[in-house]
Amino acid sequence: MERDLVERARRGDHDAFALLAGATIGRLDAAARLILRDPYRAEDAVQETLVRCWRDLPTLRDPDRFDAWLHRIFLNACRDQLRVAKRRSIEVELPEIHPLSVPDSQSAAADRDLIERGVRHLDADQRTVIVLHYYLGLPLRDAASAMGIPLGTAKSRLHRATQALRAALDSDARAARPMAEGPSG
Amino acid sequence: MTQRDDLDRLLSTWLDDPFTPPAPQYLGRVLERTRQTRQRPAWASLERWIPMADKVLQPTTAPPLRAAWLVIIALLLVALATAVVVVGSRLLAPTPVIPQGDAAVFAFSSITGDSRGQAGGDIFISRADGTDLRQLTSGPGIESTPTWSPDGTRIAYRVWEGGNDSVVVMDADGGNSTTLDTTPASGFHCARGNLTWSPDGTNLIFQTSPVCDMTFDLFIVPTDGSSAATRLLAPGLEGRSSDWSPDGNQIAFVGRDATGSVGQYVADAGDALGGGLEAREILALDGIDLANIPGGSRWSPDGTELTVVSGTGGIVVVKPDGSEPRVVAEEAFNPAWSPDGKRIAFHRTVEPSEYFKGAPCTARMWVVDADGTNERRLDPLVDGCSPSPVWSPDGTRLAGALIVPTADDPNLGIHYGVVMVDGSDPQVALQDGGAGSWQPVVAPIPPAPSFEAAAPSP
Repeated sequence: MERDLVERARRGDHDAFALLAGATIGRLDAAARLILRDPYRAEDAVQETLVRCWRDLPTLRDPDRFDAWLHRIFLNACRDQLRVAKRRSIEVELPEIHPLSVPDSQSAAADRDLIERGVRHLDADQRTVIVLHYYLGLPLRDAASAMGIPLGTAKSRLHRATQALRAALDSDARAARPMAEGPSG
Repeated sequence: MTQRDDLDRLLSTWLDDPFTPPAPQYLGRVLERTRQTRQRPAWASLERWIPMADKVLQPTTAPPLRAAWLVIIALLLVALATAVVVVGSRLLAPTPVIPQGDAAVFAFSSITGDSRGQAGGDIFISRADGTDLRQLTSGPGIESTPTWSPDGTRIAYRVWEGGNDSVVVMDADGGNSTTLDTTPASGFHCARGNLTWSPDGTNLIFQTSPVCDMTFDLFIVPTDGSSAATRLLAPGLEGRSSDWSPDGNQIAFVGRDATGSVGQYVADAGDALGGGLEAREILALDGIDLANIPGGSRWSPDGTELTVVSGTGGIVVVKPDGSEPRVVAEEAFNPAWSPDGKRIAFHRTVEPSEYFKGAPCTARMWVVDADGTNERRLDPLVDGCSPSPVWSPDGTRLAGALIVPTADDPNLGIHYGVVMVDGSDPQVALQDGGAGSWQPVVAPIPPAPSFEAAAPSP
């Protein structure tokens, strides 16, 4: 199905592209918010991703590689936003990842919320590798390719990111414990 | 919760989570933008012409009949290509090379500065061996970028003075100067950029950055001063570093579209003087900043190919439609074709230990055959922030901003000068200087103008 849409969009069928964009934009938006920690920059990055995707689709040689190709464009757009943010040294309040507007199991939502809060404590490189691999589901080889780094570097970065995430969750848990136990007196 | 198993479970849950976030409200805006965005043609990507690294070719199991057809088609294509090359080479013969040796004449600008950062500049000409040095201008502004007309009788140059950038044409003896255009430019660095004569010498293309905000426009003006300059390109497209094809039918330039994407463009010259030319992007130049392009595209002398400096830092030669790209030199910039079209000179940055005064611009000239083989380095250090090296019309010499000592000054300094392409003779260093160009034809050197010629700087 997706391959058919990609083929049609490559040939200039904008309706097919609209279906592709509609199917991917939610997850891209959430991933961009996790990486950039700023909803406005996330929107800019995703808009830029999809515009570049449409513009360059005819140059994609292998429609089966669409996802990896799209994620590479996405990551470049996020990098551009990170560069701008770095230059301007803007610190923003961490927003909610996205409103839960559709039915969702409570425990899954709690798990997702827990891990997404942990991810926000990581640095940009660590957030990127975690989001690409675990949230967008890219094989580590594709994630490395999208980040423009060797596979070995991606593995060690993922390892460090996982350790940092564990430490962040640990810290969150310690901070939350007295609250959970309630005031003593 | 923080045990290894718990984190692994959380990450797995996250990965396998079927929950798809709803499409954000800006989806409609994105689709509106894409609807208004033109798609790039398939051949307009360098990557598309390069084999994908992770794709393994499988042994073919096609039936013999199919293979036979493929062979027949391939033979027909080879025959067709041979016919096109034979006929094309007759129609587009390279410019004949005229031996000139030390008698060749080049013009250069003497950009100088003092301790307060103020600078001056005048136009000089000299023979290739450094003799017959003559000063052609003596104005109070900074006169730079001297560019010979195709017939070798006039020189176009820029003047920056008092916040204005002018384009001027004068005769080869410094007389009869005509100001073709004057544009505000708040700094000298905003008033730089090459001047491009049309092959018939009737028009000139130049770039401007009027408010010095890193946006650029190309303008065209008749060289007889009969009418005002016109914006060359259609609205929405910026341009820099133009080059006119040898047959005068096309104009190449590095451009930036309304989305901010930089690319190599080619426009049909048509009625260029009327302005508003539509151009087609032949190659995307991802990673290139228009404010800091590493050398513009240049037509080969027979007009069949263009040099492009890619965003990954290599010189690529392509057909004017963007097809058949080939990398001829890596980590290279500022390319320049030899007059016979067989070689390309370029700059390549040296190791940090060789930097002149710590400047990363420090480079060397290199020469490579146009097919990407036989790369060789010329010895003197050069200023890579200056424009491309320029070939003498007979292809034996290259001029540029050399970092060399002079007879009067044993310390290294940036001096405009000439080196032999085969490295056979010592280089000739003249003055502190910027861009220059060679007189394209054999002609008597003009008499000295009436004012006193300046002595070469120490």
